[in-house]
Amino acid sequence: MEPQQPPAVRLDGLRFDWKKRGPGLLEIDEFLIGRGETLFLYGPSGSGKTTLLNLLAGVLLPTQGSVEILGRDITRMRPFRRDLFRARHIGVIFQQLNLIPYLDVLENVMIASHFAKLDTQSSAAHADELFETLGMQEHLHKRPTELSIGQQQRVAVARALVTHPEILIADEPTSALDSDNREVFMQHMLQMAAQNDTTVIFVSHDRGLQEHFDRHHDVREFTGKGAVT
Amino acid sequence: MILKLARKSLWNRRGTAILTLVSLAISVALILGINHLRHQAKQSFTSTISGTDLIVGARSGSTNLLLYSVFRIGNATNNISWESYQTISKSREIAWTIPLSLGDSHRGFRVLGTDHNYFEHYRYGVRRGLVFTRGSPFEGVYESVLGAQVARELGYQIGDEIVIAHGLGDVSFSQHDDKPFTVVGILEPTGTPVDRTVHVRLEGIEAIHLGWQHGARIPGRGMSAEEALQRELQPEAITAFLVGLKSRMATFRLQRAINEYRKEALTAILPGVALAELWDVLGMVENMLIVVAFLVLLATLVGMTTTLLSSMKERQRELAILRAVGAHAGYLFALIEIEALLLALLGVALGILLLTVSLYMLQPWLASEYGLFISANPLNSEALWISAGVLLLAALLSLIPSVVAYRRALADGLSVRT
Repeated sequence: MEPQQPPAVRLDGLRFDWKKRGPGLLEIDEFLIGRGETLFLYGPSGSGKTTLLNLLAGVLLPTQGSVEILGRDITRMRPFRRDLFRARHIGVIFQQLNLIPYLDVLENVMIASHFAKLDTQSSAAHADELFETLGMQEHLHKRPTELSIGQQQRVAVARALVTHPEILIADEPTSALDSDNREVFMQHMLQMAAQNDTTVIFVSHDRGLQEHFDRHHDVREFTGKGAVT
Repeated sequence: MILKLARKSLWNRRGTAILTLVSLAISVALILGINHLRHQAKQSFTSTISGTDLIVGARSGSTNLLLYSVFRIGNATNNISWESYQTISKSREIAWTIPLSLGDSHRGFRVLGTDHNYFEHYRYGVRRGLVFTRGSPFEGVYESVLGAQVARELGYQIGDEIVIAHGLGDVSFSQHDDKPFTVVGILEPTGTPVDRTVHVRLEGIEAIHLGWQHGARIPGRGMSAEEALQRELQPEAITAFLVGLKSRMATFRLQRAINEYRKEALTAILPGVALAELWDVLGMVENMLIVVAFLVLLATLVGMTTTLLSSMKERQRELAILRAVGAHAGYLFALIEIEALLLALLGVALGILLLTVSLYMLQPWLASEYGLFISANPLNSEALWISAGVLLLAALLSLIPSVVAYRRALADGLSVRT
């Protein structure tokens, strides 16, 4: 981490209101996440975790304030640029069913490279490395439905990391896994993110996992007023 | 990439996709088929007779004259005297005339008395003349030439003898059985009323009516066939006649002259105009058919839209994943549109194929059974416009699911409401 690099995430004066639906208001006066940091966000369901992730990924826009990712305010980008920015700099892993059912494992990973407009050949080479690390080489041409949930989540890690993103967002990716798979998954994900110097933002209600991370925050801190750093 | 996604996504839902495709193909085949048949029917109908410049008959409406002289439907109100026929035929502008004498029948088929000019000058379709499958034109008074359908349905061969019945009933009690006619020629199918006609010489018609009066045999005045030949067989009247002119420029002048003919009340009509008028009346039915076909198509497309729309729920996850990896909301919109267009395009292609194959298979049957000559190629510029219209309509209707995908992509973000 070079000192002149902007932080991975900088939230400033952020307000979010779902208006009609949803759990209510997010208020974050200032919040910083450094490059390469790993952050654990916890909180009960309905506390606004997923909303925060949507804001960070640029899928939702705040009512007020700015979301700076890698020094660039994504709220001021044109929608098309914002989507491309997400494709290139942010990897996303969901709780489960991360994969498109009608594409095989390799296609599911390569689609991320397609949307990031990266060179197919170098992405394919990188995907190969990822699959090898994850022990998934034999499954490249299988459909997601032929894989176990643990395997599916590993493919999701590969998909999220194939574009060399600076930020990885994971929304309860282990909640559908048993404890053995959970440990394997956490190790794979964190080790591979560290290799790539990727900032990890991990959301879960399972505080047993927080020991893996540099920082922990309760999402409820953001639903009231107050600066969090 | 987006095409590949659309293709694979459709294939993933192939059960419903194939059903949608089949219904689309059927309705496209239906609408194109009706349009095709309409064109073919109109073409075949309006070219039932061609090359004839005027049809002349006793004064009546033009449709009536057309119906009995060309289609052999209904009866003439009156006859034309032989004298008038001769006078008019001698006009300088006239190249040829074909006399028509109707009124008798053979087992349900009309008998037409005419002369050699009929085989020489009668035209239908695009200047197609009458061709003999077997035999040759009649020479003798008691010889006849059969239309294709007459010969086929009644199983007649060259050399067979037929008896003409007086009047038009299928089972007539007054048969001209003392003067049978020998079949000397059989015509090729034309798809026109010629196929259902028994042709004999005018003199033949005259001969069988010698010794008859008011539609009944006069007792004791019967005359044998040989005796009849010795008599003057020039007819006193004919039903109508067809006129070919040396120059079409004279058409309207001659038409007026005939309509104003002093010695007898006559009507001359232009066959093309009269046929078009008659078709306009029949055209109502054709328009109804097109409307029905269009409604079927619309229902199918609405069905397709409904299918796409209801699939949006199960595809929420898929769309959220695409959003997460960086797909623009517009990309999802385009994806759904392309899926619909892909379906519609396949539907149109399959529909055209279905129609062409069915036409190809039905063609020989229609030709032999109904004398309908239908081209197996339904593709004309209008069919292409209709196909383009189907695609456009599909694109428009699938805007609904596409917009749903777009809006959901923006509102739901990466979360999936389950």
